[in-house]
Amino acid sequence: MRVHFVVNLFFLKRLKIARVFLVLAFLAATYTPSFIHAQPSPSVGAPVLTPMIEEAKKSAFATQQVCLRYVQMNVFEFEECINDRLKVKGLSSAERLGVTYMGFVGALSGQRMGSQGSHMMTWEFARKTQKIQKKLGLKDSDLCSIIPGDCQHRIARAQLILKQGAPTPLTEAELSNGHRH
Amino acid sequence: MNLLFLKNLGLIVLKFKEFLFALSLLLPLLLIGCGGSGSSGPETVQTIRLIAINDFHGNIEPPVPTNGGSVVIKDPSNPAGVTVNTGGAVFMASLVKKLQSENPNNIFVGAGDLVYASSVTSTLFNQEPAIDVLNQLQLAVSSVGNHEFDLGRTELLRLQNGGCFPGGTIGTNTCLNNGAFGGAKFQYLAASVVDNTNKTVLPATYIKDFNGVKVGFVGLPLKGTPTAVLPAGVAGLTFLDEAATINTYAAQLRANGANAVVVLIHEGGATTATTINDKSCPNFSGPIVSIANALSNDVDVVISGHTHQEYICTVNGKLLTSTGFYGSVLTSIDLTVSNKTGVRSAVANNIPVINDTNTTLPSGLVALAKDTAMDGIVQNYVTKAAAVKNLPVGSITADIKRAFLSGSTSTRDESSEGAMGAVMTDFMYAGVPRADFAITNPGGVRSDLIYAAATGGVVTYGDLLTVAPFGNDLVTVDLTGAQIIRLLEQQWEALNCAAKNDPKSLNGCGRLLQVSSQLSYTYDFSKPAGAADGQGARVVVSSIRIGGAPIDLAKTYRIATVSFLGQGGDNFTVMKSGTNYVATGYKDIDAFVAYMKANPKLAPPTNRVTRLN
Repeated sequence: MRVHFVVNLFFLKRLKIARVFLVLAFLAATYTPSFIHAQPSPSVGAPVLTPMIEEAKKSAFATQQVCLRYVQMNVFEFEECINDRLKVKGLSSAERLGVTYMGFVGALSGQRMGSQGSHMMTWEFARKTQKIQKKLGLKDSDLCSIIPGDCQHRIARAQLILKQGAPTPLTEAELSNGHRH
Repeated sequence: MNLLFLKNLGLIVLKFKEFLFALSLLLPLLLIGCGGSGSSGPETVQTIRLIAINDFHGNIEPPVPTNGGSVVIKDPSNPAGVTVNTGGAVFMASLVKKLQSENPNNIFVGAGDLVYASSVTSTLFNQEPAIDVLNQLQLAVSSVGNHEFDLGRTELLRLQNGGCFPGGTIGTNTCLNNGAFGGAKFQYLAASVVDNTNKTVLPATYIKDFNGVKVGFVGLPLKGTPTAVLPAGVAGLTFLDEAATINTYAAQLRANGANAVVVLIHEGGATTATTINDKSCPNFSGPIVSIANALSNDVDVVISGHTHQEYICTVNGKLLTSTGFYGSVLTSIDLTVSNKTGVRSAVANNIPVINDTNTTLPSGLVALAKDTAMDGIVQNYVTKAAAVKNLPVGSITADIKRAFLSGSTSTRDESSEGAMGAVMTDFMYAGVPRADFAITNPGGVRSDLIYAAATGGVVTYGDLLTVAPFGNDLVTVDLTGAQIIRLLEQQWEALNCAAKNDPKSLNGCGRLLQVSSQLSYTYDFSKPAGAADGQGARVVVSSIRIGGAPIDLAKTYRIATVSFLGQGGDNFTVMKSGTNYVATGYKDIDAFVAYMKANPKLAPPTNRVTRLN
């Protein structure tokens, strides 16, 4: 049985040696090291989004691009950035939802590392998100598609935070860097 | 498929023998692409454990849980996860030893900002405790970060090579152990930092042989370092493009026989993960992404930092990790590497440094034991820190006090201006580049400086710590002239009037911001206090001077303050509506010390605020 391998290149088809090297180039170009597991494709099995959620998702993504980098050892600059986004005139409710939900998820993300101010911000933005969510008639699980991540954890945290109520504001000593003189 | 048809379409058709010939030529190239060095002799495969840290910032003691001293861990029995207290060198030492004991082929590495912007114990002794602790942890190699340049190249080289702090007092604030400081036993790398002769100021690479398998390291800070530190810190230095630098040195490491190449870079990204060790790496973004995407196949692993984020991701086929900050988490990476074909597998986990301050821990989690040897080292510095508080840092000519309630010598009056508050704001203004003036909340002025004739008014470090005990970050916030007027009115509006209301106060109620000498104004006491937010009208607008000039309502002014007030503390909500909030990286106590040293025989300042009626 004769097996044939095909490479698409027009102008060198008569040159045998060149053909060999073209195959080399083709295989090298399509080769990817596989020693590390690739990330799962986000599109596989992705739910179909309603226009409202799609709008919130776009808004959240745009907010992430501008604001998420400010989540560092504290969330103060991040909160300022989120609040600035909310001041933009003419935002639809879905767009506001995207911004506030990014505020909540970003603060929760900072809280996983003990970032200063994250306790208060998660509570504030859980409330803001819940308010818009109710207005739009959305369930907790409807928000999952807006921002990638562990949504079951986010839902559980939001419920816990809202149930516990306002956290005690940090004292000036707690807002310091914790130096024990 | 019809071959003639393919040929007519201009397609190249190889026979099977031709394909085998091609494959034989390709195979060595594929091996190189896999990271193999193509060395002669038998194949050796080793599993090598990399233990990684970044952004330690000299936190040799456990940080407070609300500021880097806790993490949220996924808990199968609790969908909301569990928060545990973390950090502290004595606990980290136990974790490092455990990880080392599990695999003798190990190396402890860092990705920068290991020192500076640090806890007071490391600051007091010019970062020598942080270096000592990292030596004890057997750190082998680290990139520099931007903070390693806080005091400039010469000081960075002192931390690397040893020697006492210039101008320091041996045995008191430098060279504490037998009058000497040996410097870092680990190697700092700075591949992208070159001087005027185009030479790197520190080595670019490091290579270690693990029983026949070589791992090469390239270390570098972010290109934007000059914008993150004071100009003097990076004078005469050029910071080159990250990806191009890495690719150049990674190729060199391969040529020198490295079977795997690991990048240690002080630049990072962020995810929207809400528990640590979430390997799905949701929504990963940030400067490190474009850098990683531009890296060649010579690079296998990227260990990153700077953003104070925690993640384990894969970008451009490369494992990409970061631990967060302040030593709360370590990354453990197991690399299986062949001396023929390079990296075969890479598995990473972010492991919390669980300390003993947790009252309860869920099943499956245990606190790390204190490492005895490390405990001795840390306690030595903590004890010596107490002694350093007696170090003279300046002098005063008379008492410099806060304002006190009428008839009291001990109860402060936060509704009035005090000389101590004026000094505090003066040092904040002096300690922050490019501010127009400084303010602080009266509650942040915690004590007074009392003149002692016997010492000629000498002021010690400990004295300053009683005045400014919080180790606050100095920040800047931009406000317009109109917003500044609103800010000043908030001093007497309802919330602050209710919070600070004492008939013994000359002003009745309110919180009076302490202001630096660049700002002066008059207020009219005959106007009512306690108005609703936005309704106050005590400030005489025409009296406001900033830098000697009348306030411009439309102009944007930069205000230096502490982080507490900068983000709207004490009901000064106008601060939250400001723009361009910047954490400068400077501590109030450091600025205070510098100011006192620069202003010997400091006299109590005159008032900047005038009351009418």
